[in-house]
Amino acid sequence: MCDTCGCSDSAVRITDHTHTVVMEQDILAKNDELASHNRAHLRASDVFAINLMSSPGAGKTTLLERTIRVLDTPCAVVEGDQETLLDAERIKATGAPVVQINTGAGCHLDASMLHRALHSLAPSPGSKLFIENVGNLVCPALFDLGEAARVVILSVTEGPGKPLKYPHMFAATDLVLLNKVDLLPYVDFDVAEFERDTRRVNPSAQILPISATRGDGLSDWYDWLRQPVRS
Amino acid sequence: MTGVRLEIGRLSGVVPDSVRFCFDVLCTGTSLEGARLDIAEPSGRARCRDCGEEFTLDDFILLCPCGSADVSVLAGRELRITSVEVG
Repeated sequence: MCDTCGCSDSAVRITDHTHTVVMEQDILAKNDELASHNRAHLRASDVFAINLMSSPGAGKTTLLERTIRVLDTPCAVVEGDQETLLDAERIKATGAPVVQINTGAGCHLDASMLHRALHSLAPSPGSKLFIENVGNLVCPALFDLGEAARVVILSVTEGPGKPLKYPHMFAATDLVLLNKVDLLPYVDFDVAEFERDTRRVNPSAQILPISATRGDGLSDWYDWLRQPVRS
Repeated sequence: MTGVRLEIGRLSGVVPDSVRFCFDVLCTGTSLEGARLDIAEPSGRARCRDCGEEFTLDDFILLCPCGSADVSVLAGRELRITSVEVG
C-alpha cells in the first residue's frame, strides 16, 4: 500500500516521493473506438464507405462528380475542407446527398467528425459513401474513420517520388489512382517508376492509371467499386 | 504531476520533436506545468513473408535484406502514454 495516500492501485509504483501511474493508454484509442462504432454502423446499414485521400488539386472532386453520374448504385458524399462549401455545391449539382465538414485550422478528418456527418447524411442501404478527406498527404493517414477501404489519388503533375516522400499515406491504402494521365505527354513523370516506388511501401496496393476528365481507366475504377476489397 | 512517459514508435507517423516543442506550451497553467517529458522511440520491426527473417526498419521502405518487399510490420506503430508520475 502507498505510504502517502494509502491507495492500493497495482498500477501505481512508488519511487521516493513520487508515484508512477502506469497507463499504457493508446493516444488514438478514443478515435479508434469511434471508428469501430462507425464501421459497425456502416456495415449494418450495408453502406460501403471509402476514405478518399490526396494532395489538394489531385482531382478528388472531379472524379466524384463523374463517378456519381455514371455509377448505377446510389452514392452519398462527405466533403472535408478547411473552409468553404465549394466542393459540396459541386457534388450537390450531381444530385447526390452531401454534407460538408469544415475543419477550420484542422488538416484531416477524424472519426468523430464522420460520426456527426453520418447522423445528418443517413446514407441509404446499399449505397457507396465517399468521404473526401482534407487535401493533405500527411495527417489523414493516421486517423481511422471507420471506412471499409482507403483510396489515394496522385496526379502526374505532382511529380516523382511521392510514395517514398509520403510513405504513411501510401502504406495505408488499398487502391492508388494515378490521375491526369492525359497530361503525361507534357510532364516529366515515369509511371513505371511510380509503380515501383508505391510497391516499396505497399506491396499489395492496386494501382489504376486514370483520367477523371478524359475518362481513361475509369471503367477499371467502376469495376473496383462494384467489387472492392474490404480492409 | 511531475512527469509523463510516452512511447512514440518510429513508424507511428508522429514526430517526437514536435511533441517536445508543444509540451511546455500546452502544460503551462495546468497541473502538468514543469513536468518532465520522457519519450521512448521504439524501432520498427518486421517479418519477411518470403524468407521468414525478422528485421528492424526505421522508415516505411518495407524491404527485407533478402530483397523481398512482402513483409508484415510487427512493431513501431506505438503511440501511447506509458505512465505519468505524480509527486
